[in-house]
Amino acid sequence: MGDSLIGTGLSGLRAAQIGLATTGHNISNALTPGYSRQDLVQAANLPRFTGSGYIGQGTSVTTIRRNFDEVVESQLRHAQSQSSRYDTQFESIKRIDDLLADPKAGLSPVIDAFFGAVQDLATRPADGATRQSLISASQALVARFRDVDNQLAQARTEVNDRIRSSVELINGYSEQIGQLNQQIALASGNGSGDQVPNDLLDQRDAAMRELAKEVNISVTKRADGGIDVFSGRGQALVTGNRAYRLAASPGAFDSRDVELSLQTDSASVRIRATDFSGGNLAGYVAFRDESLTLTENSIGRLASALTQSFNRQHRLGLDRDGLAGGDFLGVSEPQALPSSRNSGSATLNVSIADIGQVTASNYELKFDGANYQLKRLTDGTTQSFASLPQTVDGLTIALGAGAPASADVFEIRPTRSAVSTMATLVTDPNKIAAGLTSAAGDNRNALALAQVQNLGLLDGGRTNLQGAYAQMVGQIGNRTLESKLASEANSNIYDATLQKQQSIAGVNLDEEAANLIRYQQAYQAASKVIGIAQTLFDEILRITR
Amino acid sequence: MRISTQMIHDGGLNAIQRQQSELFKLQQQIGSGRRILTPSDDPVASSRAVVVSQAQATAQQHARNTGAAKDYLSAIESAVAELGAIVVGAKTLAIAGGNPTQSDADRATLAQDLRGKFQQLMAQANTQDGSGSYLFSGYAETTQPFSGSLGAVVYNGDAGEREVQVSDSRKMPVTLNGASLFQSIKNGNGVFATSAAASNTGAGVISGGRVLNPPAWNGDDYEIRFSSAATYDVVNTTTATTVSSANAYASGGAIAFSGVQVEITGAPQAGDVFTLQPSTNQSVFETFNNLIKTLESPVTGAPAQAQLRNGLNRALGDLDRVLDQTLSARTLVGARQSELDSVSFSNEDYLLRRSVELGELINLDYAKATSDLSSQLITLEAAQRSYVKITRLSLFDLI
Repeated sequence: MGDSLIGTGLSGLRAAQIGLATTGHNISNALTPGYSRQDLVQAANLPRFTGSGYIGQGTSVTTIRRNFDEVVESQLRHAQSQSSRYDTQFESIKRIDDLLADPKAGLSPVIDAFFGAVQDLATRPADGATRQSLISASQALVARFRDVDNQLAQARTEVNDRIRSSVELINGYSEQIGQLNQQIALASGNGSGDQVPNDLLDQRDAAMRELAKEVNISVTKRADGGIDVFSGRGQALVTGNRAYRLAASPGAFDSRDVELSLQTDSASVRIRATDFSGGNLAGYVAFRDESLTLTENSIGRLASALTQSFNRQHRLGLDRDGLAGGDFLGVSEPQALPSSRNSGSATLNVSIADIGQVTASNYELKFDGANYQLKRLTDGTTQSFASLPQTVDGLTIALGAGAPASADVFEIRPTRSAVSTMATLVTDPNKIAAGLTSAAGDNRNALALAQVQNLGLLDGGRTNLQGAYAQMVGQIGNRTLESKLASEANSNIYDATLQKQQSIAGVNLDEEAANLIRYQQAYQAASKVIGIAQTLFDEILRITR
Repeated sequence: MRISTQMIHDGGLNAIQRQQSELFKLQQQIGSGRRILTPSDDPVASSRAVVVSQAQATAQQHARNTGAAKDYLSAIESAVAELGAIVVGAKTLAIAGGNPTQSDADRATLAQDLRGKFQQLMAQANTQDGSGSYLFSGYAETTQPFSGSLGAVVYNGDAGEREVQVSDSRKMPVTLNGASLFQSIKNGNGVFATSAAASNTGAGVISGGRVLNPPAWNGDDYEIRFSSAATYDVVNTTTATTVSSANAYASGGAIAFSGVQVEITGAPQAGDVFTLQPSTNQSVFETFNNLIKTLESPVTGAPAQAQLRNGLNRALGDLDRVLDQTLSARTLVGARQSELDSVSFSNEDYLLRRSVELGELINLDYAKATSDLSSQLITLEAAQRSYVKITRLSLFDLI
């Protein structure tokens, strides 16, 4: 009779209580990032068989369900990686774009001023003031070049630092995910199959989203409720409770450039930085190895071309003492860096044979025991030689001291550090070789020096100095614009995916308000049931009194 | 589709931030007057702007160079004009010296004037410009071009002519070489020079002569030898052949041979010789020296008179050649100045077009920008108001 009425009422009350608690939980976490709204999964209790049929036994809550879609979540992570990558690329390259933007701060005006001083000297060669002005203009030119070079060097230091920070963050999240895997496995063991620790799962998903910001990941589920996280070309960052550390170590060619490796149980596995296709890490690496290197090399190439051709013409003239002109400007020679992992002792000597053929690319030279293979890093084209010296792309590559061993690698940087020691070598105005004789009014060499500004020095003789600079400005501008558009496009994709995710998992306060009303009414109704059951019982008791 | 509360807030906020960011960019554009704030705003235009700026800077440099070139040329023009005036003065003195009423003492006074004119001449040849460079030394601008005294003037400069880059393709010479201006002057009538031998005992005076038939003139040395007071032979001393002999002499009559013609007046004696030689370079200083020596020689008797006449005739011819030289120089300088004017003009035009081009590339269209600004402000305000209205609605206010 009424024996199970209270029970049924109580079950309804309990369910409504849980409902209210869950609704309260949702409301409190409405703004918690990464929170997936929870709702009840209620089921009717098994009925009891009686002579009158199966009588229902009320309800129970089987589990609190997290509204979550794995597919959408994975899409969101991917969109996050892409968006972060292009945002980071855009922010990084924008700095260089800004550096070149100001017409007063760029390199073209200072080149104009330098050649203007040469022309003034040609027009008034006997005037000591024009000679001194040329030296001052040259020093201003060098100062500007070096200033730009410094800023680029700073950008490089910064991006390497950011890569290190990103690696730290990745390791932190991997650690966190590993721990959460352990906690989730433990907690999942407590309940029946469906009952999972929702908030721990939310935490783990949030950690994965943060990780996806730093690097692109793919995720597989484990049987015990844990997940494995992979990145790059399939290297594992997390397997179950175990997190593997990514390490940022000094580069093999240049200790200042960071290179990446993954520490597994047995060894340290080198990861090519380009293996990562998404996340901030990929953005920094792309900026460092493509745009930043291109800019440094282009500016170095400009300085080398100016110095070489100006010096060549200067040496053809005589100064006021009747001596042949020396070098007017100085820049650093090309670098050839052996890898720190080389087993041989060889060093390379690289010099510029024809600046007109030199590109803005770095090169890699590998020795396989018999032959040398040279790869141009911007487009990946390779050439093979049986011996050195060889002249390629305007560079003469020769063996210096020592001998190479098989598998030795060298990185060749033709112009990247040209500006680091750029200097005006002539400081005595009388040493400026303005004429073809030592006469005070002989300006014939000065006239020729002024024409260096218009000579086709680069790209096989097609482009003059400022034309090459203009090309570089356009290139950087284009890359910045591309990054910006990619950043915006991916940002839009991320926003759309987020909307999808939020429509599944996001909390709507109005909806929760409605739920409050619903569960409140259910609670009231259920308590009424209990009240009625009690009244019935009282009735029975009154009969027996 | 479900909308979460966070999406409502974030969506509204993002919209506001987008509008603010657009507004910020417009503000920067309007504040700086530039459409292109960084190269990524328009990479092609930015790249082109670098090239156009360089062209502008070069054109401005050429304008400066042209100004300097004009200054140099006008200094030269003044110096050459002065030179001409001195030579005209010398001619006047030479003509005065030919006046038969002049005594030795009178001529000595004229010679003294000429010595003064020689000093002026030296000063003119050693003219310096405002910064102390000598105009006529060639490349050796700090070396005084002419030094020495009358009869021993030495050129210390070199053979250079300095050029100035006045446009991309044109180097303009802005000096005149001292050696060629003052020393490379053909004497006589420009083709040949006549003279009377100092040993002549007669009183014959030979004219400067002229060329009748240029192709026939062979550039050899000739002598007109008087075998008697009434007959003369014409001898080609270069080939040692006699061109004609026993010609009858008439005072003032034309003596023509080998495409040239001279006249002899007065009364030559037997044994008198008159020579005819191709013109050589004779410096203006030497011309002055010769004239002064002529005027300072005492004159007694008819032969000495004839020598005086011959000397003065020669001097006048040589001075006329100097005047021709100054005229050529002034014409040359004038032509250069005229070319500079036209170079200046086309340079200004070029500069103007580059400025316009640069403006079109990077300057802001203020009309469009201000209208964009007002519509942007409206959009921002709309976003802000709608955010407030929408987020204010909540079911919790009604339960």
